Amino acid sequence: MLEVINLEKSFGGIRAVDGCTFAVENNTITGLIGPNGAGKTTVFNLISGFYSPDGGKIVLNGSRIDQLPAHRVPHLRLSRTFQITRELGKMTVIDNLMVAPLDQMGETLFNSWFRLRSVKRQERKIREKALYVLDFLEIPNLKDEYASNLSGGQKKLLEFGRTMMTDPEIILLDEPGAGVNPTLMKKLNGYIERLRGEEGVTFFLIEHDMDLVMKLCDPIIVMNDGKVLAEGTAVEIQKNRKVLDAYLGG
Amino acid sequence: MSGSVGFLIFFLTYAIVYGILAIGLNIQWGFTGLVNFGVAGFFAVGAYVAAFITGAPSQYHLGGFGLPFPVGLLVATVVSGIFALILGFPVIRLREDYLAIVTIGFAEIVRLVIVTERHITKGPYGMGVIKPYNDMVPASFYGLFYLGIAIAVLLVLYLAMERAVRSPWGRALRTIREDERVAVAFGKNVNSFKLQVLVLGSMIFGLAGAVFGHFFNFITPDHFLPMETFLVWVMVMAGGSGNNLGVLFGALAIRGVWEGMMFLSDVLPTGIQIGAVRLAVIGLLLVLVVMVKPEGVLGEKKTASDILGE
Repeated sequence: MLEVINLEKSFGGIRAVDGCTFAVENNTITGLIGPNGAGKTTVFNLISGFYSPDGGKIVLNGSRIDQLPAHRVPHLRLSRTFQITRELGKMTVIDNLMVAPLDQMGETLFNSWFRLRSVKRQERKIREKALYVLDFLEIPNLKDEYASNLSGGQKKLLEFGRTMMTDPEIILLDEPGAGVNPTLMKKLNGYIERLRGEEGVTFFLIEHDMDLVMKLCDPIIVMNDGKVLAEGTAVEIQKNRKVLDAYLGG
Repeated sequence: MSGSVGFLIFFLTYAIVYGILAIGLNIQWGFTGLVNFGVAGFFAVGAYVAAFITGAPSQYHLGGFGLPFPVGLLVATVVSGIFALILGFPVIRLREDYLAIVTIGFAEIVRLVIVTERHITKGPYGMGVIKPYNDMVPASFYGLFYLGIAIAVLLVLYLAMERAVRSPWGRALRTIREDERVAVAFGKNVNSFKLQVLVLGSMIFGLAGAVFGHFFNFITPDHFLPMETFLVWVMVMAGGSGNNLGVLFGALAIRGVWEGMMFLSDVLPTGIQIGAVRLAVIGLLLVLVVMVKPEGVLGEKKTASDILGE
């Protein structure tokens, strides 16, 4: 469903992504791992349109997305989270969720002045969806809390919930497990599995927690120095000589 | 009408002009986080354009076209918006500090053009502005009548802006203010929203200029010094940015202090310049508010969009 072909991106003299090629298959939970500085987050930023590539192609469901402005990419039903959570601090949790859906007709001045009835109808659906997401994530009590007051783990959940609001086909998670305690992590795994099983969502995630990656992801892509080093199941990756060298500096 | 009532009417009308300016800046800074240091420039554009439109024909300045007062308000508003569009189009995609620099420059350019282009604006001598509907209202009630017009303009503006910021449109603006990258990641065309807000807010400054000119009936470049921009910023920050009622309160309070200080000239020892003292007092007030209640006297409402009333 998502193909990355010969992707390149440099910052100054550093080739952060250097001819990267891989594919994310439909309805998988694909993991992207690699040592620090391997170029993983850069790949995410390229796919989601935050950076434009110096070379190569990104193809989503058969159409190229690498030349699109970043705000168009979510409309192709690709949603992402950020490595360091970006909650909207001075807005409530439910507003953090309700702002996420795409194509809200109330987001034009004209409609909010002159077509209030239709705006309200859509707003009601969005609110229902937000309440559903809060229930799904088991944090309905946080509805009216300012997002800045949430704990680190709750902010991670909020980021995850925000992606759910857009009905995505594919979700890119940038280190969902960083700073999350094991109990919450287990829950988060459950949500990921459930969304994949029940709603057919594809996941592509960066993670440093190897236990998590090995348990959750299939297949796993390993990056090093801006290139794909290896690809395969957890068992294959664990046995791969090159991967061990890259991580252990052999 | 007695002197004190007349003064009250004068004071309220003047405060409303600033209230309109504060609502314009609130949509830009309070809700969206756009830094506009050129409020006075758009204010001036509105005042002069409206004066050209409604004034009687004159060989000493542009126009006048002798058109009705509402046309003056409308054209002043639209022309300010066009200036904002031209200004914003190249700058809006850059980081916000560039917008701040460009708007400061814009306001000073506008003021200097007014000073130097005497054949258009009568330069530093200033321009007379008509009293609209002067012939229909007894002279002694005219002040009150114009206060009514000002209140009506403010009320319509307030309701329209409240509806706008309490809608999903306003929620998107708050998202941009809190974190632009999140807005982008959720499909919001950030540059488009910012340009809309820059233009809309600047149109409101232009409207304020038109209301001011026809209230004061005389405008000079000195009415549009950078100080005016500073005052509006203080009104927004002290009153409560992100809250339209708050910034109106800010406008009333700061105008109150500003005018009230004039009465102190009897009490203060001779040789102290009241103009300088009141600036210091306003500055001190701002520091106090920021220290004690950083969100302003009336802070932002918690819920972004409340069109469902829940």
